[in-house]
Amino acid sequence: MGNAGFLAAEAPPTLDRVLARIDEISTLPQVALNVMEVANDPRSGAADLKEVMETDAALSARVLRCVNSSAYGARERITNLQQAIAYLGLKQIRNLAITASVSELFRGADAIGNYSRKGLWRHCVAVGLCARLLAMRRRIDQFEDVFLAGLLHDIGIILEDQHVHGHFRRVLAAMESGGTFPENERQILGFDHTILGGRIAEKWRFPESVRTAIRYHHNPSGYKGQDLTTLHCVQAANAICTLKGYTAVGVKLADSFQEAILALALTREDILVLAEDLDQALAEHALLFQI
Amino acid sequence: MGHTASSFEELYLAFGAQVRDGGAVAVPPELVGEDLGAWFFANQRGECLVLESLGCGAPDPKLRAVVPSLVSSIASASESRKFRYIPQVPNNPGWKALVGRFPQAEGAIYFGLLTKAPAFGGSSGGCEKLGQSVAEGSVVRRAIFADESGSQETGLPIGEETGGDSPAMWKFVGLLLRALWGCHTQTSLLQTRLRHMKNEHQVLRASQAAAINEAIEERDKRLREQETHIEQLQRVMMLAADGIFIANEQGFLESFNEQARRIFGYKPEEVLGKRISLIFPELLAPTAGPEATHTVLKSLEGGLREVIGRRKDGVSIPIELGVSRVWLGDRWVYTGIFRDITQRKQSEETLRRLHLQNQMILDAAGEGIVGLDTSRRIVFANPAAAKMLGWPVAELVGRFWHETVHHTSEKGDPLPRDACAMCAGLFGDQKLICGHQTFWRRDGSAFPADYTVSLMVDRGRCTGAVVTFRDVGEKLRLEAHLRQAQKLESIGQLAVGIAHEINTPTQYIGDNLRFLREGFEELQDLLKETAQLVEIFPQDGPKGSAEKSDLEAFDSTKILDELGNLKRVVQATDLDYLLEEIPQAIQQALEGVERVTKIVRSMKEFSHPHAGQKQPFDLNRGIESTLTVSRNEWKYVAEVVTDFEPNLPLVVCFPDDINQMILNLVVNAAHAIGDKVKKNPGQKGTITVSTRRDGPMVEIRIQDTGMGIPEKIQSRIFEPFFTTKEVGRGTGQGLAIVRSIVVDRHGGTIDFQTQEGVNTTFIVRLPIEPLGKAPSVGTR
Repeated sequence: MGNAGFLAAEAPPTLDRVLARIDEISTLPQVALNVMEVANDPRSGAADLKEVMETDAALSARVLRCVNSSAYGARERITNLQQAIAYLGLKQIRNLAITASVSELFRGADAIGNYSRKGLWRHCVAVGLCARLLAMRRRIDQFEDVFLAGLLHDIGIILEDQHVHGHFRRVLAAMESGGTFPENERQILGFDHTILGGRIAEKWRFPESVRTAIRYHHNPSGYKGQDLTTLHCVQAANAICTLKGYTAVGVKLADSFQEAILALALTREDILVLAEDLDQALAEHALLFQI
Repeated sequence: MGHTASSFEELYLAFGAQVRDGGAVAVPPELVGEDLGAWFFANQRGECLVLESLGCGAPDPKLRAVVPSLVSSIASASESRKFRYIPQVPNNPGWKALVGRFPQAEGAIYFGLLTKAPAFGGSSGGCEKLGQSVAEGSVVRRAIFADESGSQETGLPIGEETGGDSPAMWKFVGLLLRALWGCHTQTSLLQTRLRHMKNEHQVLRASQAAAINEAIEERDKRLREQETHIEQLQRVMMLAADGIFIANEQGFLESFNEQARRIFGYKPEEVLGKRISLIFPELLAPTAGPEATHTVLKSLEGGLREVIGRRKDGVSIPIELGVSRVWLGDRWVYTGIFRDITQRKQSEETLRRLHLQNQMILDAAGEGIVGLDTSRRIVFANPAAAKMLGWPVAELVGRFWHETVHHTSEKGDPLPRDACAMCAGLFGDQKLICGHQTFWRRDGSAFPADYTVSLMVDRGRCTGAVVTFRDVGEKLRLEAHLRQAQKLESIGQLAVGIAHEINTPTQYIGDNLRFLREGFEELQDLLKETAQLVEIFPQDGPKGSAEKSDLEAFDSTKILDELGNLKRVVQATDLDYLLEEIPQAIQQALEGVERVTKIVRSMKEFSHPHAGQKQPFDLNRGIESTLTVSRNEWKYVAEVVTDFEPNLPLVVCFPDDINQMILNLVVNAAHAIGDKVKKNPGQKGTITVSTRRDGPMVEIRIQDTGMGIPEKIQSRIFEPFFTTKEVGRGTGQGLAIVRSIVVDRHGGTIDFQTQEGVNTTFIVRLPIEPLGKAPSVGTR
């Protein structure tokens, strides 16, 4: 794709073309897809996840490194996946695995103004952790699923960066003139990262809640389904992280999220505390950023 | 929708916190009396809210509602490093009443805008938090606090100099209240955090519990699977066709399957927990220590071995046992798999005995026995064969039979396989072949052998052959000797007769010669006189001159005298007789010599040892000589008539044998007639000998007009040593020898026709040319 010719006014490819391009290059590592599938299947157990992960030794090693970090407070050193799964649970190990895998997408490339892949990755991890924290504090059982939704909600952006790079740069440039990121996307590309992300999520068979988060995190009122809670968590986390400076594209502008607050029965203190604790949480999981 | 915020404040403002409603209400000092204080509440911007103005009338109900949530915790304030505060409680009677009104408050700050000194009050609770015991009611004189950066202490005398409404004071108030706000929020945040942590904790616990449950379930499932698997294995083990036991490292039985029970007769419960010495007493002593047990069990590992087992009833049985050591995950055990091999052992024993028997038979056999495989290699040879052939048994095995033993013909020419009669017949159609061939020993010497080959057939396929052979060299030599001896015997027997035969002519040769001598003596005188007469005439007269005239010269008296003498002698001699008899005597003498010569020649011919090879032979002449030689045997009792076919072809045969044969038959004929003549004397019988050619054979008939052969002995006459003659007259070998010569040596036939009391005819047929050395054909 390259950086060349972003000023050229060639017509952007259609959404389908972009999808096709992505397909050719099969961006997401197979192991991540496999892990996703295993985790989706309610009949699968620890042994299945272990089996899938063992195919990628490097991945397993990274996951184990994370597990042994202070973030999880294991008393003894955990040396194999079985132990890890027994200690942290299937979902959490899944999440670690997917995080480790997806991080591959964000490697390399220089910054474009305030945007950088590294920064985008930080945003994704932060939103994931924040959303998880939020879910835990609201006593939502599926907090690990919420993490995944938070982690992957902006996947559309990195895909745009990779596959329609020239036009992506134009979008970033246009941000200086104002408007939100999705608005500029739609203007220049004809679609935004939620639409692209949503289609990819379908293709790659992400869990339902993750797909919802990707598709509707800028437009929650458009969604009427059963994963509303997850969506709200992701929304709130997105805003909090952005305001804290962990921005997606370098712009510190957050959607307000009144319905989310109401729906989650959040008080100001809740948010405040969360915002404060977020820094610490991010520090604890620092390994994930470099993962 | 909503709108965006770029700061938290905006965020809060955006959703309309209570704070927003508050503006800053300042109480003008002039409204504040001495000892009156006012509670201020400020937002982050430093705008103040008056909560309560003591002495200013009823407190603002709006504000009051806020107070419970306003927990000003001095302690937490100090923890958050916002400021350090050392309170001095004002000595204000209204203080207690005020504090009493807000029992939830952990502490309160009373900021009294007194005329001279603002006072801060802390409730006892708040002061205790600081670890200070401050007497109630004491006056706060100073506030020592850190500024917002938390790094400095600033002691600021408050309002002593300034008093009234000074911007500095309000700034200070603002600062303070901001700090208080921080405290407040901190506390409420703390509570929130606490709540959050509880929630987190709960939810995490729940999630972990769920994870643990899942793990447990999975483990249970695997355990169940394992159990099922173990059950299945156990079932397999229990029902296996071989006996199986499992013993622990100390040698105690832990498991004993069905078949083991059947073999040993024990029920499992009788055996479990006992040592394996119960069933294998030899292997392990019942009292063996762990070391010994370990050694024994370890030594059994791997491979099968035969051991003795002991049944419940005490009977010992042979067992084939295989032991292996197995790790069961937490310990070692020994698994033994075994079967009762009693039957097998019996079969083995039987087999061994049979084998031994066979071996002994083969070893003891006097004949050479050699086994060949289908490629004509020797696969076994018995000791006799090895000895005869001059090879050690081990070296014979593997060699090719033909090339080793009959590679050369008896003449010394190399004999290739295709020309070898034995090889030609080997593995052909015939299952049984007999023959005779020259076998060669290792050292290059040879011997004649009679052999029999029989094929080995297994399920319709030929798998090899067995050759048995005998060194017949000795036999042949003996046979030759025997024949020679017989011949000599015959000659010896005939010697007397021949002596007779020679004697007679010799006698009259002598007589005739003696007659000639006498005659000669008589003729002597005559010849002398004649000579004297001739003497008168001179020897050398003139040639042609001896005519009449000369006659007168001679003395006639002498002549007349001499003539007279001569006449006398002539008359004395029986000249006519002599002239007639003397030639006759000479003739007879010559005849006699002729006779003798003939007999001698016949004898020579008869007894001349021909080389041991077949030769073309004039049968008629041979018969003639034999008749001559045997004349004495038959001349008294029979006439001999010969009827020879002229130009009978020469027969290839052993001439000695043929002569012997004729002799035996003629002698038999003579004896047969002799018996008859004895009964009826005066009548001579007839022996007729005839020869004819009949295709490839010649037929010799010898007929005698003797007693014939009685029916009941007809089948026995060719038997060796069978004789009807009285003791001393022949040994009974005659016909046996004849048959041997005709059939065995020449491949001919012998037959007889007989009429009791009338005659007997023996018919011998011989091949003119022998039919190669074709082996005789055995039965299929």
